Amino acid sequence: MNSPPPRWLAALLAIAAVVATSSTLAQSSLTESQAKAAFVINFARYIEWPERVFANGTAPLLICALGRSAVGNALEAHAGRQVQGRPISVRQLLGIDDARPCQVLFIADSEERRISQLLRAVAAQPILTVSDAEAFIDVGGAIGLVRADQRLQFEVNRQALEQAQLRASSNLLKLARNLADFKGKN
Amino acid sequence: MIAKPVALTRALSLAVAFGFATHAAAESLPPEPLDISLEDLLRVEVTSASRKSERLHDVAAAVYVISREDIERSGATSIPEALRMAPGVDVARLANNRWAVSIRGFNNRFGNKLLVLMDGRSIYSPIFSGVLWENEDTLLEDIDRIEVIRGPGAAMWGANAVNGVINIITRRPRDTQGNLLVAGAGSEERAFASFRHGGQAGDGHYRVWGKAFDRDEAVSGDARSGNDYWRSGRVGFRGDWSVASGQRVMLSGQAYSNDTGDRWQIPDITARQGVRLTDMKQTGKGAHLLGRSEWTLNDGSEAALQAYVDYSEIEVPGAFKEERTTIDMDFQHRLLVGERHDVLWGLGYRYSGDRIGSAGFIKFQPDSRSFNLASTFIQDDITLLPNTLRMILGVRFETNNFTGYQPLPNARLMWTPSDTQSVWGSVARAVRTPSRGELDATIDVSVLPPGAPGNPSSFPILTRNVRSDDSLDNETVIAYELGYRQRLASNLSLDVAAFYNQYGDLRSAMLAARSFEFSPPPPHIVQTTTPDNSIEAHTHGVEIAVDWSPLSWWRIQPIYSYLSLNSSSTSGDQLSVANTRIFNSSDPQHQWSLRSSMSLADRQQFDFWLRYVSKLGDRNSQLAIPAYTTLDLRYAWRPTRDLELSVVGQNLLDSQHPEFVPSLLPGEALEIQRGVYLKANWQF
Repeated sequence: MNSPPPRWLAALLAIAAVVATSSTLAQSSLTESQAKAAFVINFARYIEWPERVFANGTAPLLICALGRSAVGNALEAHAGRQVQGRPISVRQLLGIDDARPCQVLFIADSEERRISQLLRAVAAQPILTVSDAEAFIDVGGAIGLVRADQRLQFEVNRQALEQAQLRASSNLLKLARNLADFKGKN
Repeated sequence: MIAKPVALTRALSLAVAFGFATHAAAESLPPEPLDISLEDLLRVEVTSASRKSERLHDVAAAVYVISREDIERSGATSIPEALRMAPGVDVARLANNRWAVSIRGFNNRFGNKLLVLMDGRSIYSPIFSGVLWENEDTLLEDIDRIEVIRGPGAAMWGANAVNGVINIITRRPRDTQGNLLVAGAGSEERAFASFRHGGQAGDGHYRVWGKAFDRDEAVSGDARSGNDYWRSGRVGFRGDWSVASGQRVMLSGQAYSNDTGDRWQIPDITARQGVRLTDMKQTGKGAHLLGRSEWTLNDGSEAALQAYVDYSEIEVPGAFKEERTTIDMDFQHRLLVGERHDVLWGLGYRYSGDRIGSAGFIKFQPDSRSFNLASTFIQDDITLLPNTLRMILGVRFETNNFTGYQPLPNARLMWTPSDTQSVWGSVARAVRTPSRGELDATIDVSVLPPGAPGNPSSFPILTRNVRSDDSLDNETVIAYELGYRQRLASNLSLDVAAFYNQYGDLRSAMLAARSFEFSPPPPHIVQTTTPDNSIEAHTHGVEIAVDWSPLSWWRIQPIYSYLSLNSSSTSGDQLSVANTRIFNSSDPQHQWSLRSSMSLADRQQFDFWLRYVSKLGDRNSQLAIPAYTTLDLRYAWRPTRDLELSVVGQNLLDSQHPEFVPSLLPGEALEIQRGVYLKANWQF
């Protein structure tokens, strides 16, 4: 039943092969995990923690990652850099019980089915919770990373920030796509 | 969570969403994130390697997720075409508006062993026990993902999830804000257009959408047009809101009107060939409204309540008309008990009532009937060794007014020896309930004209399948499955599943009384047949899926499926034996496909999809279909961030080929033609 492929098809394939081999990748784009880690580090710039969470003025800012994901590794690449005058320290957690000293907690979407439980364990503590799990802010998370086509966006739950005694700068809030002044595109 | 439709909270208790890129190791040093402002980060395009592998790692079932990106890059223009991307799925296009879709065998226009849900609403038709794919659609750009779960899902999803479950999940309205206009035209896809508007309302988001298309006809083997035109119009909406105290509410609805053409071989004792080839027109209309609420209880457990009402009308003038109303309610509660038990339980009730008018060669009796189904299920996901070994025990009890009470149990074991490897196994029992058509329809199946092989008499023999008088039983399956997944490298993952299924009480028929009739003229012999459950079968097979990103901008996804099906008659009846031959020749033994997606410079994409399907049936059988290989190509370019132009070529390797011979509601085997279309996708 298969008739031989038409000649124009062979021509098309040849053109495609040329296009594919001759065009090097345009942007030196980030992987999704690298981009997510970059978001997490950036969020830390815009959040104000209660003074008491740091032992002193130069104590490190502790960023923790929970769950199976490459974001944890991508975060580790930033350890030692400075945020708000503090060096970044990164720790990959085995369980939520170790989250108490963290200022930022990234929960990988591999933990999606127990996110409610995880969030309860850190409720009311001055920890900025960030996750790429679906509908994270709807279940009480503070910042949710969402993918929109080829880009990442984020959503902020102001009530969750308040409960964690964290203050977010308006520069952060106005970029969150779910907040009132958002008039962006999908 | 409201944005996660039922599927996610349910899918064998494990979230099945796509993971994300993990090929960091292959990349150069990460750019300085502090040098990238948040504004710039929002503009950065990210690449994804093995999106699926990450989360699938944890699922104790044969699951494949077709993502929105997969759908877009495949060039598929309908849901059944998109399903060809999943391993273990057999999609055969009977005509431009008809498909036969099944998982792991028994393919048919009404693939009755497969449950399909769209945002938690079953689209399985109780009259045909199958999905009328020509009536089911949505805006493809709104689909977040399609979860294809092979193997029985009855403990979780109920009867008819015998060989698999397909969950079509649409995106949250929050993710579809702004306006979208899609329009295109082509040779087979004559013209199509869709529009969507998404906005905010109160504490939530909504979208409204509409789509319409007109598709060309396929051709028969001798190059006549197939009368399988398809004109469709559809509108819908969905809104998601957060109400007080973490409660989320979702409301969605849809209405459609569909005109499709068909050509039936209607048995006719006056026709010389015994059949009259008749052009038919099928109109489908329907609407549904679905509401869902999800909330977190004080103890941290999660509950969800969903209800929907669905009305549909299918009319084939001169044959039959069905009007059906379905009301469905479903409650679920999920809680952690101690450290080790993740428990999900639920209650469900469904009413489905119909009115069927029939004329000519199909007669339904009674013409109105209702189907009531009540069910409860519980599943416990038990952690035996933290992060290493889990056991999942589930059972559903279901009762309906046709075939009574059924227990549907399932046991699964999941072993995760390392972060990159997992092994799972499962044993399950599932049933398929007889359809309204099988129970209550009397159908003139065929006419053997005098002198034809098998009819030495000088009178035509009319074969008539008479209604079963409710004597039909459920079909049953006991299924054994084993699966293995491994992430071989950060950019390469492998997923293998094997199964062995034993089926009993498969529906067939037997020869019954013969009589001689004078009216209507000419005088003829009526051979009646009555439905029974006289076939048993076993199947085994293997499915392999690989996801590989050799370069950051190139992704390759090969899949392979092997299936062996053997059915035999328990009655030895001539008709039952004939039916086993239909079963044995409905599915390809081998299928493979290779998808390649390249993201090139200057916002260009070049994708191809090569597929092979091995032959159906023996060479001389009426159901024989030769093996075929086909190729789809797609080239897309984004001149601006919000506009995408693409050209797609489909079925490029031959001018036309057949994929399936319909055995139920006999029609012509039409051939699917090569096609090209242009498409513009504009967000504003």
